[in-house]
Amino acid sequence: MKTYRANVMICAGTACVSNHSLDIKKAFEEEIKKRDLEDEVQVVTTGCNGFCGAGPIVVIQPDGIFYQFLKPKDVPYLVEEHLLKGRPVKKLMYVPPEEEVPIPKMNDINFFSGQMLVALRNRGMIDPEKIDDYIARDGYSALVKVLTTKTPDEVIEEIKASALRGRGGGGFPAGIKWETCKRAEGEPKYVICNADEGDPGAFMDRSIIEGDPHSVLEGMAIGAYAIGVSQGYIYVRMEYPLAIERFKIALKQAREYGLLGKNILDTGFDFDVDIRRGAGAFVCGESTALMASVEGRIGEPRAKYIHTVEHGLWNRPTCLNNVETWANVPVIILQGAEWFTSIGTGDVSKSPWGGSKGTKVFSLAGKINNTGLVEVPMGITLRKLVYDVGGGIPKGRKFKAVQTGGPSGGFIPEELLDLQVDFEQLDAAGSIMGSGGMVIMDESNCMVSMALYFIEFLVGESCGKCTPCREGLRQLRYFLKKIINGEGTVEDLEEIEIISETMQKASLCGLGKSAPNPVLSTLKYFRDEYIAHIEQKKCPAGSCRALIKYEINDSCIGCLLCKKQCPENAISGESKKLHIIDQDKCTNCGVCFSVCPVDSIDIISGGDIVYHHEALEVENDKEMSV
Amino acid sequence: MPKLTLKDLDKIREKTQRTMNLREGAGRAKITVHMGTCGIAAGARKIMDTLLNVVEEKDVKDVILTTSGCAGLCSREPMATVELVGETPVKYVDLTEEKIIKIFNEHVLGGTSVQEYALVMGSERTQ
Amino acid sequence: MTEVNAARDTKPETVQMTINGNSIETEKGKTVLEAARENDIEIPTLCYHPGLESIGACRLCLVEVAKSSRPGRKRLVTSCLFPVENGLIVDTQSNVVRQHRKIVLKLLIARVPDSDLIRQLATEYGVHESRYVEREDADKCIMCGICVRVCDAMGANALVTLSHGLDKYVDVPNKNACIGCLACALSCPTNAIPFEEVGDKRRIWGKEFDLIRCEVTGEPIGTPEQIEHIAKRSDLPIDSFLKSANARLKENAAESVGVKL
Repeated sequence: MKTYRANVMICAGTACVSNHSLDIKKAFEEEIKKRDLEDEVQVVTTGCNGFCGAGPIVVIQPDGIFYQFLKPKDVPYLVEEHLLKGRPVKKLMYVPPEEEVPIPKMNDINFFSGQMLVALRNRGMIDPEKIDDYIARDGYSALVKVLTTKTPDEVIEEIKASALRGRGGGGFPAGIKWETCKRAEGEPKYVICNADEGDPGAFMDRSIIEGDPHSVLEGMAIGAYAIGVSQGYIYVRMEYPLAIERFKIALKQAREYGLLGKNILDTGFDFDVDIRRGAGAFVCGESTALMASVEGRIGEPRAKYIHTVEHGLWNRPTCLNNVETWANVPVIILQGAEWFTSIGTGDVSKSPWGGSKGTKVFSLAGKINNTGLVEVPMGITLRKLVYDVGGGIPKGRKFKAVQTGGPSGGFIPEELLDLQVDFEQLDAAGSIMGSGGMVIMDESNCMVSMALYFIEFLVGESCGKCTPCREGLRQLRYFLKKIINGEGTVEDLEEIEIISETMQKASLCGLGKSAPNPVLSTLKYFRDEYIAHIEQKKCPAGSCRALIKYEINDSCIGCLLCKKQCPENAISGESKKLHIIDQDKCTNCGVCFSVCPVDSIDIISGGDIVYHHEALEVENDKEMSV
Repeated sequence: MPKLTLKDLDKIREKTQRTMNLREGAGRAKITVHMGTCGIAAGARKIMDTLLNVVEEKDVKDVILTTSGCAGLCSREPMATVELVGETPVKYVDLTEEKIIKIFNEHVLGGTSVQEYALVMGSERTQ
Repeated sequence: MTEVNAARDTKPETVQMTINGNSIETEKGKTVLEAARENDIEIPTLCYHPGLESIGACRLCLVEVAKSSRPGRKRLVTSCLFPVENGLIVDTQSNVVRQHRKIVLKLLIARVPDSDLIRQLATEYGVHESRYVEREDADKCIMCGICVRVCDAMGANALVTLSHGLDKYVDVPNKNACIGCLACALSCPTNAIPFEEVGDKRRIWGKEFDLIRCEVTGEPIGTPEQIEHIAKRSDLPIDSFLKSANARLKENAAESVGVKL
């Protein structure tokens, strides 16, 4: 085995790859060769590092130095200075917002130090396309332990004792699901990995698959052994080509090693996995729709009075779990249920529903400094997640809400920031854990628009089978648009609430049942915004086009930029003189607002100024005239 | 590729252990070879090569080799700092290939610092 | 084993439950809807058809159920799919049920404003005025899926649903598959499928068929494709289908009293 003294760990998750990280890899290889460092420094591509907002990312081990926003042209200098001369390059390091001093080591950066890696245990440490790397970090040890020292029932007891709850959103205790499936009548049985991850902005599962596909395969194999299954399916959304590719490579390597297939490790246990691709339907993340799709039928859900653990794929007992759930299984087997339950909230001694144990992977997105993927212990407060790990709100703006759980979830306002992130507390606040999406909003986000955004998404994804969801979404969209266009009435709010209740109680599947959640949640915490839209024709966030107008204030420096960009030629004014927007021509496109270099355009809504930027200094000798 | 046995899995783990320790920055000892332009000019790269060879020869898995910039004592280069976990770092100066091998065997593997090659005790703690 | 004992052994398991406070005995394997209808208890439906597999799409047949062990824990379920079980407590007309039924119908009126059936049902269940937006260029299709299911049952498999969500619609993409049997049009609860019969032609789904009429009464029997299809499925000779049901009834009746027509 070659002895290196340094490893260049290059992030090759989808985001960094689309940002040319593979070109960076080539640049490193070329420069290292040029400098005669080939025998000392190894270049490795890993899965997603997690700090996606700072990509392309490279971490140099063993020093643990974190480099961000790299470009291929930065590489020669980096190689010379850091790898050759031992002088890490400050200007390529991470600098916290509003500060000047860089933080060289990854583990010292708040984004990373606040995390606890379980499902993402191999993050940044392995090449996902090399099974030996996975094995080196205890990969497949759990499967060996289970096959050689535990009975299937003992495995189920361990998973039950860990109180592992589904990470796809349902939060159902995995151990109970496995046990029910095992006891159900019917052969053959199946296990499925739900990798359809449809929530907009969610990429937890994608990162696990791209970065550590074997963790999922090993988990499924352990589950298959426990339940008595020899055939598994992974259903991956087709919009994840890299994930599919990495799974295929992993399957091939695992089969070659005899870790999947017939008579695994000579123990007589058979288990293999087939990949099935989705075809662009959010609803196929719902378990019965997913199974219909695998069977080749249209991806539409069915009533779940008869559970899929009893009658699932081809009517046989089927155990479906999410990617992250499967990825947790090997660790629980190796470290034990007691260790797992020492992390998280609640008391699971009587029932797994009593707490939320272990960790959860979240994607942080929206108005937050540190956008990316994090894994934190259950029970972390939202405040810590947003401000410590997330680095707070950019541009010094104020936190307004965090949306959790995707289109099925709700919005948590500022006054609830100290709630602990776990299944029950998020439910109690009117939201859900969901698959782990966290979108942060500041005062420039209009909550009514946000509700409409999710409704529009679901209008596009509803399968259309049942009346409450299909027709309810039509009406919710109609009433919300009315309100956003300044034509809403207070009665509309009542209609929205009544329709929402029927959708929640009477829809056929989870999509319809949870569709009203974003609407009801915003009505609960931000009703005043709805009332403002209705009674004052005002959008307090300054976002709804029909209700705002832009006005240039006297901080204008007369640079002509907005005038040149305006698609309607609605701005007049000469160089170094105050510009003016002709409101009759203006279509509220907002281009002027976004290009103004001194932020001197106000947003007026409902007769009030809802956005105004205080200029830091006004030069004395500037005289403005109209 | 033949199917693996349980022993094969253990062998793979053992073989890749050094790499994994490196990636985690984990080890019971760390040797920092001081580079910088002066270090390289004085022959620090050869010191690093020697260390890489001896680590491979002796199949040592839990020792981290790394570099740093110039330590400020350019006249005494090549230099290397040896830090055993829990002990004060020892800076070695005026190194040659023979000296570093001796230091590796006696200090890193044996546990006793080689006083005659050392400069100061604990002048720089590296994390 | 005697015949009596054998018959006893194969008797289906019975289930005791209550619907609206009435004790009901029914057979295991039935749905709550079947058990209710057996006992003349009314539950409105739209997408249910006794000859077809239920899909629980319209949501009109919702009822509240609870187990006798936990009577306070009620669930709202579609009775066309929910299996009966011992001790089940069913309420088909609670306030909760009525409310959701009402909103489902209100939503349907907005979808099919021209359907008399839906309007009538809606009025019956308490919908009077509505501020909902009506679907543009609305036909009378409520997406119950009966036409698709009945076409599959016929064996033609010509009808499918296309697209999804609000854009979902029913169509015959492969005209060759349609045998012009009218099963879809005649089963549609809202008469949303138009067809025409003029002289010796029948038109449906944009396809024109020859129309075979009864050689005795002149009533339409069906299209040649339909007759061939049914003859093949029923393994009967084609000419047994060339007289209408009425004509055959008359013949049989006459024959039974010794008269030859």
